[in-house]
Amino acid sequence: MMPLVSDSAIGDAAALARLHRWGGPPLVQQMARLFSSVVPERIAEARLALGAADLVTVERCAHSIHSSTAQLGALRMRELSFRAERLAAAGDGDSIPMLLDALEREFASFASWLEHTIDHVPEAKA
Amino acid sequence: MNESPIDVLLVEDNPLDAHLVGALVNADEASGVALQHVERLATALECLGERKFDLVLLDLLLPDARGVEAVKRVLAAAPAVPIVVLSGHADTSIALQAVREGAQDYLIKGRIEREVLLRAIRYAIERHRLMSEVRVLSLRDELTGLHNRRGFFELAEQHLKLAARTGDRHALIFIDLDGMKRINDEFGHSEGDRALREVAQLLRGSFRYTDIAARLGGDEFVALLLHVDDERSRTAVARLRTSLALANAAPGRAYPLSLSIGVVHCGSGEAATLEALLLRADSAMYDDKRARKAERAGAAA
Repeated sequence: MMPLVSDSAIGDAAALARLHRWGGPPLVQQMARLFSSVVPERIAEARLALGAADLVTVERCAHSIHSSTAQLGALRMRELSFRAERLAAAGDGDSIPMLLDALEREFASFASWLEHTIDHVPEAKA
Repeated sequence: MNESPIDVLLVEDNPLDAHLVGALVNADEASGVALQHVERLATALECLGERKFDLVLLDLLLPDARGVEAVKRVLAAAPAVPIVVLSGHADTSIALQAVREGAQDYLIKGRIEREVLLRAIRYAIERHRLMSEVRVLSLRDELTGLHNRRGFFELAEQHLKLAARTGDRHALIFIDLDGMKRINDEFGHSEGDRALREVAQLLRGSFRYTDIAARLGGDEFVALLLHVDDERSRTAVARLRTSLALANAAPGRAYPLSLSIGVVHCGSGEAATLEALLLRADSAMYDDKRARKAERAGAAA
């Protein structure tokens, strides 16, 4: 069976460095907190919508997750959410439950990575 | 420098994206941007109806609108407000489509630098202002300052379409400056131009500001008088005739101006094309020209 996500790194420290450069540690912390609250909500909303065969809402939720992962540098989640968004947009909901499961697993991994990385954000380059 | 802030309406349902945009524009007071954030397009349209914004930053996948539809709805509600689209993907096809529909620019989320965002906002506002100026100029007759043919057709057709639904009565008035060739031949083209400007001034003074007066070309003028019945359109034409007589009575005048005027009415739910109405008004104008010519010949005899 093909892996759902490529063997990329969990997170991209450069994304955090970018946030650090724009708003210092407060912005990094605020964005991390928002990420931790918003993404699980969106995954849950996507599951509910999927149950109701509402692929438009699934697409919007996946789009929102994809956008959020880009801001925080959650590379694997970004890949998964992009695929879910595309499938939903194409009206193909069959593989989306697997992708949502994988997103939840990757969310836990990324949260752990973030916790370890956030206090050691590399020096930002202008 | 104490410039008023640039009022930006951010329409974005993703809290992270919204927070980041807020952080970028509010990083220091020097940005000069005041941001208001809403999550839904319906709320954005309400805001645009309530107060003036300088720019809309618009996400393309909202709970109540998606893609180019969101751009179209904002443009319909606030055509004078420039839009910069926020796109979630490096795939720019939808963002480009949004630009073709009227958005000024697009930004790719996750790649937005503070300087890029602020520059995009300022450039979009400036570009939109310039485009609006060019558009106004393209619809205006340079000589008289009235609408030109294109400007008249654009505005008049909108009103006629609406009238076909609502039954509103409008009057279309066709006006021809008589003897234009003779003025040009005897007094020169600059005097001919002056005569055309004088007619335009008479139209402005005789019709309401909300009526649509235009120079179609050459010595032909037209005006669409909005929401008038037969009597009010007759009053407006009589006012024009009186203004013309007063202008001709001015001391030291080298020649009198003469206008032939044709009037037709439209509305009451009838679906007449503008071209058809113009033909009828033109024909009525020639009737007037012939009648006054016959009158003058009778008086001379």
